Amino acid sequence: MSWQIRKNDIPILALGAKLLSCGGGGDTKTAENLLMSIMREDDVIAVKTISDLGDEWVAAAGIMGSIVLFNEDIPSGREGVQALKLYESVISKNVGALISIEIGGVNSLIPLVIAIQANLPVIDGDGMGRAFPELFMTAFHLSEIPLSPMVLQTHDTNRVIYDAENAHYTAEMAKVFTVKNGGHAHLVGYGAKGRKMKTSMIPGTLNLIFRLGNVLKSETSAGVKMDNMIHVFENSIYGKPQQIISGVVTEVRRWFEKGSLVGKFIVEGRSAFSDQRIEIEFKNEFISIKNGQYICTAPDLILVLNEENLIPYNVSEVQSGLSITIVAVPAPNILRTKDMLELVGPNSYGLACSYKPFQGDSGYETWN
Amino acid sequence: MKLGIDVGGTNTDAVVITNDGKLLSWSKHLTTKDIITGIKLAANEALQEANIPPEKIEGVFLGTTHVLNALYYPNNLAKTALIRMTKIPSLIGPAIQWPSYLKKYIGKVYDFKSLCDYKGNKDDSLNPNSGQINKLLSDIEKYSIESICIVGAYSPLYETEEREIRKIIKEHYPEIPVTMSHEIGSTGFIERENAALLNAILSKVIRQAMTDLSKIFKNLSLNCPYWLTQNDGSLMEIHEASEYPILTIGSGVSNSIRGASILSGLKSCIVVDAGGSTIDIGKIINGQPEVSVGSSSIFDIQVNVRVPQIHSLPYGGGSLITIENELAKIKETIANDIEQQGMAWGGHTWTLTDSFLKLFPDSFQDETLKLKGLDLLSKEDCRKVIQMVTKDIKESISRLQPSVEDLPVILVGGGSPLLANRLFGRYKKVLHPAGYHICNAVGACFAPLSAEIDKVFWLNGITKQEVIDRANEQLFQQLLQKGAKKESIELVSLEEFPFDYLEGEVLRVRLKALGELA
Repeated sequence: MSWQIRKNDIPILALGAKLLSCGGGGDTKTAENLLMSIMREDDVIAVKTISDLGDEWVAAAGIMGSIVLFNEDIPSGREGVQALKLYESVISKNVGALISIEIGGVNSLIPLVIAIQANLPVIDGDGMGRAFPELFMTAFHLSEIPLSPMVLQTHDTNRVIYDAENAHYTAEMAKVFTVKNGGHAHLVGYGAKGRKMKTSMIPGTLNLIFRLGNVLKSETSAGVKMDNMIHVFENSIYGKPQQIISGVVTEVRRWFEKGSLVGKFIVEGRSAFSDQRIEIEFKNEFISIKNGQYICTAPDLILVLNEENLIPYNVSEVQSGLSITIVAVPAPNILRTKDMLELVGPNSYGLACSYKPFQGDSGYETWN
Repeated sequence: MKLGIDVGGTNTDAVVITNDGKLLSWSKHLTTKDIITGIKLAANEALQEANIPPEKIEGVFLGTTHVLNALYYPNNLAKTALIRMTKIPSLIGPAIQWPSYLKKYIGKVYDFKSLCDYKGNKDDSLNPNSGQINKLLSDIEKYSIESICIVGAYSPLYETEEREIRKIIKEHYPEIPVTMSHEIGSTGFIERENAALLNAILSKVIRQAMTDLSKIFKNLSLNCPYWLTQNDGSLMEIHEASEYPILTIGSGVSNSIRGASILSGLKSCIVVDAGGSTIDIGKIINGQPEVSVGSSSIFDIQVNVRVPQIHSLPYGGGSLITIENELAKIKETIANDIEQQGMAWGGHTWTLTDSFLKLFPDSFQDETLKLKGLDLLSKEDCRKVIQMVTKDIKESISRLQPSVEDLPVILVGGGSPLLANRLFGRYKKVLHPAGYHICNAVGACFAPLSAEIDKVFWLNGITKQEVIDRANEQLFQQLLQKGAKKESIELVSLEEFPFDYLEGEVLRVRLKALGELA
């Protein structure tokens, strides 16, 4: 069943997208301000759901590179639609709908910008179901939708990567281009027919961030919000969330390593969780929860929330003294398959453990 | 000797304090609409009571919520022109999330082209902005522009373009205030633009206030330096404050936190400041009031300047109470009319203060109280109000408590006698220090000098350590110039943020140093 997005929905989507980003995914502020600038009150963006997809050509859109630079060197706002036009000329086809490459963070909003400008529908789904650091860490890639041809567009220059051997190579070339040209770029790629996209994407995630955003924005107590959030996840392809701990952040360590923001912090439990101590590791996103042993790792979702209002924190916002609540959410099954785990499992983040699915509903277990 | 002044929403307080920290006198007056009259009365009285000649005062230290209030109740705000410098004009409009009553002060917007490449190298053969600059210069008079705000993309990395535009404007209009965004905030265009715009809009009200203050102090024969406390609790000279009003909006709160620390003698504590219209709960660690990290917001406008990290409950001693469906509700605030309208003073409105006095009639030593008026209230209802208020305060305190060991809690502010002995059982350390009612004015007198650098550097042929050493030396010199004692200067924070995805090594460093006034 198709539905629509209006201007008032944008801040709600942005907040939901931050929640699903697991601390990474890029700040949504610039894209949110862009959408609020270009949308009129009566504008609508049509959203196609899984059952609406057919023969149309679908392409994924997003930005890549440094979000710090993207937020400083603000876009003209036309880069996405320029990339789309160039992409269409490269493949000699019209794109019939856009999909987000990554629903967690800023990339949930980029397809909406282009959709408004090119008058296209967007698809209720994405390639990651959360945020991941690399272009090839997608369900599209897993289903053998090629990343190339891919178009990159900055303020003033562009680049087409034609039929590259594989997504890893395409992603590498895209990075080289980005570093040479100001540090961030819009991209359009991962093109496929609607019926192929239907079985490849992680479905329903645009609707999920909308529902989550509404819960977080609601004027109610943290307890009610938590119940509502759990309820929303339960009615999705994600598993049942579990609150791991509420307490205060101590011992934050953060450093940069090969282009990633890496580090860890400790949460000392309070009230119902007193005497408990949890360690969270992060690398672009929050990647593991440990209490001596691992409780939960990527690709299962680790959410670090403000204890008072459940508004999510990203990895750079966490600081000593914050009162937080940590919630773990079992990832959709598609992210837990053997092939996908090779791309996004604990080893891909350099964690020395094998993946063990987090079981939300039966209390958590630890493992090595 | 020091003269400390705090202009709050309800009262203006003044104190005279010796250099070794002894309180000689204090006075309290209702804050006047023009703020200036109240300051004059309070300062004059404190000086007379201390019985010292004005030339003995070596510094005046001021904290005020005046600038913040000018945004709450728009007053004397400047019609501002915004100049944006980007590689390509953006569809992102300025002030998108602003309330319309503030947004309307942005009178004109100009898109200039940045001529720098990503590394800050400027192509001097181009000069495409000259036409627009001329238009701007003629518009200033035509549209009665009162303030200018320049925001360049990448200006925290290279500031030359913002400076050049400012220079040209100043050549034609030497008096017009010009805000350059690189002096206000660091990376993050939208938040820096928001902060710079607010700064520009406030330039009129702050200049007026500073001019008036200088006049009053001259009248009082106070010919010493005048200081204002800023958001992080450190001092700014008055001429600096005129340029950076946005950095002073948290001055009242940071003084109250420091004052509580001074009055209690505790370097680390949690402070509850119970005022007429709000109850603010903040924290000071090792003598430094906590400030927000990363972006913060002012009226839901995202900005990248730091503000004091506080929990502010939206009610205070002067808030009105009703009971709806057996639940206590706290409504709007009558604040400074409490001694007229409160039932405990013979009035007819039920305030938060009345609720406390009903159960704890000995809280205030005030001869004008007519506690008979409280007979109309039910004890049970008042107990509900007190329970709700103490629960909110306790929750805010617990969120600020570090995990390891609970910090003591200090109660200050005019409403604090209502809370003393009511918050926790006897196992928790809660102090209600003498001088709680003039806490902010005392706090202002003890604020340190500070200097801060938050800049992005290209590591071309120099090492990271050299960048930091140079920045450190710059801070040291700045503090000496401001009048700090050499031996008191110390670096209090150093943060590094590398940039990825740029060719060459780029590093943002943020350093802050403090020093005591000699």
